[in-house]
Amino acid sequence: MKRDTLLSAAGVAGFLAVWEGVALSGLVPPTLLPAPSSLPQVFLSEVSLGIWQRMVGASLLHYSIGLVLGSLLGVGAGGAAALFPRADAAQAWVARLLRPIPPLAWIPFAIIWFGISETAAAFIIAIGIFWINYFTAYAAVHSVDRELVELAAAFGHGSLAARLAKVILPAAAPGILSGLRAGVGQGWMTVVAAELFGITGIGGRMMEAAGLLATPVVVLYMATIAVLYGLSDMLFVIAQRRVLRWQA
Amino acid sequence: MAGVIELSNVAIGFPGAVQPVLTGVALCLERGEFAAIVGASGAGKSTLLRVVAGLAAPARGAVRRNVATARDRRAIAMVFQEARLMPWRTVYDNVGLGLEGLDLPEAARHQRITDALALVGLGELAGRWPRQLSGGQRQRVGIARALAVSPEVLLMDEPFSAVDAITRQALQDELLRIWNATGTTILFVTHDIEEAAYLADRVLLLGGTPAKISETYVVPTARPRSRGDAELSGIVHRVKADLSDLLLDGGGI
Repeated sequence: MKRDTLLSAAGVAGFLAVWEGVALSGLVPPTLLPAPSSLPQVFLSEVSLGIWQRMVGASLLHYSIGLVLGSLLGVGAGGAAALFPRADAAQAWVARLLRPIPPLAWIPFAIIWFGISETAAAFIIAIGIFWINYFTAYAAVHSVDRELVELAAAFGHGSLAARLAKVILPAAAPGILSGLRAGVGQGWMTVVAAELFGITGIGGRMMEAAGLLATPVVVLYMATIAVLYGLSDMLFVIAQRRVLRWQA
Repeated sequence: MAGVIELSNVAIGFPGAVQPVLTGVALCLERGEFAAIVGASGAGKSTLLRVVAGLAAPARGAVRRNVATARDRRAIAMVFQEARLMPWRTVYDNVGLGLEGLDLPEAARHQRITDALALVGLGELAGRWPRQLSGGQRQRVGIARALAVSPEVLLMDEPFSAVDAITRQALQDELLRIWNATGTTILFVTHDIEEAAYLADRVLLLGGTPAKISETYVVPTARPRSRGDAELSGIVHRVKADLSDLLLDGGGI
């Protein structure tokens, strides 16, 4: 366990060293491959100008709105489809039809409907998160042990609300949470793309910097996304462990 | 005096099936008695119990439950073949399941859960998760959960069939002790005829196609009983002989 941690750390160090070595060797022009050692300086300058904070703040806002909307609607709709046979039948083909459309394919309509706006970015992020949660919540609720539902009914919890609260939600929690976690990740994947068409945020700033061939700035924001993803995933896992502490 | 549970001419079928599983079932459960239902697997024992519990509706006939409705207890409680514990609840909260929604102050609720756990000898394990328990302990939690609602009628669906022989005997004796202490009416389904004879005042044989209660055996043996009792063995033999006749007649095992 400890040795694995050391090896993982060594892997990161090795990766950075090779990257730095190639960048410094002069084999590749610095605009094509900025050295990692150039990043701290770029970071400081972006922070001192207040750009980094503003971009991260804007992206966080899009991300949060998309995450909350997509997660709530996805879990709600997927759960309802699994709960009610009629809703299930009604959604089956619609879901199969809409699901394969990648979130980014909605960009034209996002712009037509919402303009180049924060709402458009949040909408695109929400779509990706929605489908992940829709299907995981559907599967999780669908596979809830019928015997536990019957048990709850035998002990006075037969109404829909009681069934939901006493059995279905807690029993489906592991599946729903794994979907939510995947959504937390997927959100960061789409946030950049959703902002690329000129919406203020990390993606917008990257696009701007790329246009000026300021590649170290691009790399800085790539790294920023990676760190934000890592942080949010870590926080989520901590919360998830708490909720699911009954599991082995 | 009327029985606490009365079934008259009850037929039960599976949805979509032409033939009912059970037909013409009449059953009158006396208050405070320990009745056991035996029969071959697939005879509809569990289905019958679910109908008595109100978890399934009979296709025909009437089920009368002459039980008092009270705000602080549930008239009927059930123990299942598998413990059916909620893995996300601690032992304590599993036992408290049936108390949620009852009109019971927190202190009384706590007392009922603690008493029920003490009755099955699990007071120490209240804070455990179900995954940390043995099969016998899980089954005890299931029994405590049923006892906690202080039911008038306790329905038990092969509750000891999934535990090893030694644990089963211990649980049987524990159940008799609890029955003595609480005075609950018990309807106990099992495929184990020795178990039925050892525990019950009356053994009801369920058989035939479609099945009905084809025979009733009164077990007069005084309590406490010993497992090797000759009178009990005699009853066991009679039930076994009648059961194999039924199976031969029905042509199916």
